[in-house]
Amino acid sequence: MAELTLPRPTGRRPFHVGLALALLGTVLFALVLARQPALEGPQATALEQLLLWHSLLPRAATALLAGAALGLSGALLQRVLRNPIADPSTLGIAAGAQLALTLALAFAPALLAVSREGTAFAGGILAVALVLAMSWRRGFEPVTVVIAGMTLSLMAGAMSAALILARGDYVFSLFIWGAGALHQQNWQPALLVGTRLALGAGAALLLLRPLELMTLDDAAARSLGMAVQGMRLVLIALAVWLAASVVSQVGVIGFVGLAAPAFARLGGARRPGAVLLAAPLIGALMLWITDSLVQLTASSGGDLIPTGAAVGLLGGPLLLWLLPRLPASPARPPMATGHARRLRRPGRALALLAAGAVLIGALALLAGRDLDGWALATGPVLAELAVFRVPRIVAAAAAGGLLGAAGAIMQRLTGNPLAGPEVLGVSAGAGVGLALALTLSPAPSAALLLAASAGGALGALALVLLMAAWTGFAAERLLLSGIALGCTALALLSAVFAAGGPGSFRLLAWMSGSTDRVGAHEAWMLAACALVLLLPVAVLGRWLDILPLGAGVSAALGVPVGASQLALTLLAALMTGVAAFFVGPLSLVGLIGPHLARLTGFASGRSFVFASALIGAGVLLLADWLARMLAFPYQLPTGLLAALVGGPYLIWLLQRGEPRHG
Amino acid sequence: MVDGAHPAPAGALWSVRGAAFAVGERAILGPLTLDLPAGRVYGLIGPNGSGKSTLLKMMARQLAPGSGELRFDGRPLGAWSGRAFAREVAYMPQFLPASDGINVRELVSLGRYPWHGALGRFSPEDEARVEAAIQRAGLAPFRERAVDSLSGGERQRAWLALMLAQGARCLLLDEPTSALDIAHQMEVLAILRELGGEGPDGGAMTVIVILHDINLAARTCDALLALRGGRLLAHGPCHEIMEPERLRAIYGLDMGVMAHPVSGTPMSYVL
Repeated sequence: MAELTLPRPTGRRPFHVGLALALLGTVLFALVLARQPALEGPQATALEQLLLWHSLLPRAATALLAGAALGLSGALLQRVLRNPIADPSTLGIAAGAQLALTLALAFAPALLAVSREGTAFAGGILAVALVLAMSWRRGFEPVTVVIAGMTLSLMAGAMSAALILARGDYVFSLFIWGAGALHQQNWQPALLVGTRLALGAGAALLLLRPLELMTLDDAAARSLGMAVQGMRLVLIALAVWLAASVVSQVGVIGFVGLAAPAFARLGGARRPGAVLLAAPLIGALMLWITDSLVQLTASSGGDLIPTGAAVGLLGGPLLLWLLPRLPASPARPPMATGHARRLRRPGRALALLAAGAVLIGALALLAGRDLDGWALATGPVLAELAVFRVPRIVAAAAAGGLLGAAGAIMQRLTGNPLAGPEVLGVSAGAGVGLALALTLSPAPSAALLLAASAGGALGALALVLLMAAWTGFAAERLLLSGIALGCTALALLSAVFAAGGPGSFRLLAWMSGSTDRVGAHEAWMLAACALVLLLPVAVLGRWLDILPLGAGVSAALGVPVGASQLALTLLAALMTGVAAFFVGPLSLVGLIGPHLARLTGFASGRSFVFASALIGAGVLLLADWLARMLAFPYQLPTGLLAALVGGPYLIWLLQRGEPRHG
Repeated sequence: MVDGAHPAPAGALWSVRGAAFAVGERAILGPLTLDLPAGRVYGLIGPNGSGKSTLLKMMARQLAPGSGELRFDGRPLGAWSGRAFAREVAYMPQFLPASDGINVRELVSLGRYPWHGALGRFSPEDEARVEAAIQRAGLAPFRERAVDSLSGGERQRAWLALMLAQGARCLLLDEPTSALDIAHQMEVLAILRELGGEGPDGGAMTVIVILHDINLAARTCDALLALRGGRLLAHGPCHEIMEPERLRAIYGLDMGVMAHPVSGTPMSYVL
C-alpha cells in the first residue's frame, strides 16, 4: 500500500527546523501579546492580567494541545490503516462528530449538558464505522476509504447546512464554531483536551509494539501472532476519541491530522515511535502558529477567519506541495462495478432513458399535494400551477443533465471511476467564484453570478488537472489534489460565512441546493446552456473512447492529447459551474449518473455521457419533486435531498465493488 | 535524402543521430547513432536499466530526446503530425491500460483513429481493416467479449490487433510477452515473425520489439540490438550476437551458446 517515500534529510537538520518553528511560534505569540491594546484606568493592570490569564494563555494552550491531539490522532490512523492520507477529516470523523453535536443542539440540548464529548464521540465513531464498513470489501484500500469518508463528510455537511437553514440564527453561530474558532474564556477546554491527549499518548506508548508490527501487511502481522483486527479497532477508537474531544471543544480543524505525520516523515522520522512522537509536536506548533497569525490579522471586530478555516487555507497548498512526493501507483483502482454487462443496442436504451426522464418530469408537473392530500393537477389548476412548477422542473432536469455529463466526462478524462465534480472540488470551486461575486459586488445580477460560478469551477478543475498532469494522473494524486482543493475552497467559504451579512445566508442557501428561487427566465437560460454544452459531446465521442486508455496510448494513436484534454476540461468545468449555480455543490449527481450509466452497460464514450446526463436529469427531477412533496407545505433543498438519496447509494456501490486481488 | 555529417544510407526506415536522454545529471541513454532498414524484425535486448524502453519511447514520440535527432522515413520525428505519424508507426506500451468495459471489436476499432480522426466517418474500409486485424490476431471468437475479461495472452493479442488495424508500416512493442506463459509467448511472437515478411500493402513490415528472453529473441528476430548502460554494444544478425564473448559483454555473465537440436538456431545458456 502507498507510503510516503520522501527524501530523508540527514544529520540534525530536522531538529533545527523544529527548533526554528518553535522559535517562530514564540515570536508570533509575543507579537500577539504585544498587540493587545493598552488599557487605561485604575483597574488596567488587573484587567490585563485577567485578559492574559483567562483569554490569551488558555487560547494558546488550547491551540497547542488540540494540535497535538489531532497530530497524534492522524498518525495513529495513518499507521493503523496503512493509508498516508487518512486523518480525522478525510475519514469523516470530524464531520460526523459535528453533525452529532448540531443535531443534539437542535433537537436534544439536554444531551449536550450530559456530555458534549460523548455526543461528538458517538457521531465520530458512527462515521468511521460506516466508512470502514463501506471499504471493508476492498481491504481498506486508501482511495476507497477516503472517497467513502469524503462522501460521508459531504452528506453530513449538507445536513448540518440544512439544519442551520431551517433553524436560522439560532444554530448559525454553530457554523462559526464548526469552522474551528479558538476563542477561550477559561482553561476548561485546554484541560479537557490536555487530559485526553495525555491518556491517548500513554495508550499509544503501550501499544507501540503492535503499531510497529502494523507496518507489515496483515498476513505477516498475523503470522507473528498479533490479533490484527482487534488491535486495529482499539487503535481506531483511540484516534476517534482524541479527534472527537477536539471537535467537541473547538470545532472542526482539518488538515493538522493529515499534515503533521506527513511532515514528521518528511523530516526524517521513520519508525512508528518517532512519527508518533514528532507528529503531535508538529501538529501543536502548526496550530499554534496559525492561531497566532489569525490573531495578528484580526481586526477590532474579531478574527478575520476562524482558525480551523485558516488551517484549511494553509493546509490545502501544503498537501498540493506534498503530492508529487507521493509514490505513483501504476495500478488503477478497479472500476467500481467490475465487469458490468453491456448493452447490445445503446441507442434504444438511450431512448428508453429519455422517455423515463420525461415521465418523471410529467409526474413532477402533474402530481402533487395540496392541503387536502394528493392531487393530480388538470385543466385550469394545471395552468395555474405550471407557472411555478415548469421553471423548477426545467431547471432540475437541465442541471441534473449537466452534472451527469460533467461527471461522465471527468471519469473518461482521468480514466478514474471515482472522479466527479463533487469529489474533485470543482463544485466547491464554483462556490468560491460565487462567494467572490457576492462579496465584491453589492447587487450582483444573475448573469454575473452564473459567470462567477462557472469561472470558479473552471479554475478549480484546471488546477486539479494541472496537478494531476504534473504527477502523472495516478488515481491517488488526482483525488488528493481534489480533496486539497475542496478543503481550501470550503475554508474560503467558511471565512465568508464567518464574516456574516446577507451574502453569507445566500451562500448557505446555495450550498444546500435549493431550487425554489428559480424563475422562468433563469430556467430557460439554464436549459439553453445545457443544450449548447451537451451538443459538442456528440462530436467528441472518439476522444472520450481513447483518452481513458492513458496519455501514452492516446498519443500513439495520434490524438492531440493536450488539446483534447483542454477542450473536454473546459466543457466539464462549464457544465459543473452552470449546474452547481442552481443546485449547489453537494448533490452527488455527477457521481451517481456515470455509475448508473456504467452499471446499465453503456460502454462507448458518447452513449455513456448521454446516458449519464439523462440519468442525472431523472435523479434530480425526482429529488426536486420529493423535495417539494416530503415536507409539504415546506420545501426541502433539492441538492441536499439528492445527496441524501444518492450518498447511501454511492456508498453501497463502493462496498459491493469487486474485492481487490481476487 | 538526409544531409549532415552522417547521411543515412538509402532505404533506412529509421535513422537515429546522436540521440541522448538524461534525467537530471544521470544519463539514461548515451548519444546513440543507428540506422535500421525497413522490412525486418529487430529485437532490442539488454539487462534492466540499459535504456531499451527509453529508446523505444523516443522512437514512438512518447519521449523527446534530450539532444540529437531521430528520423523516420527521412523526416525528423517532430515534423510529423500526430495522426500522420500514427498511420506509419504503432506503439504498444509495456503496461497495457485498463479498458473500462469496452469489447475487443471496439478496442481494435480505436486503431482506426489516425485515419478517420475525431470527426470523420467510420468507413467500410475501416470496418474491413478492423475485421482483418481481428482475424489476423486469431480473436474472431472473442469479438464481442469485454477486453478486461480476457486472459493475459488474449488481451495482449487484442492490443496487437489494435496495432494491426492502425495499418502502420512499423510496429514498436515494449515487452509484449512479459506477462505470458511460454505457449502464449510463442503465439504472440509467431504473429510478429509473420508480419516481418509482409506489410499492410504487400510491402515488408518493420517490427522493433523489446524482449527479455534472449533465446526467444534469437528465434523471432532477424537482427538484434544489444544495449547496456545506455550504449549500443552490438548490432547485427542473431548469429553474430549469440556468441559467448558478446553475451558476457551484454549481461556480465559467463554464457555458452549451442545450436538448437531441431532448428539449428543458436541458443544460449548460463554457465
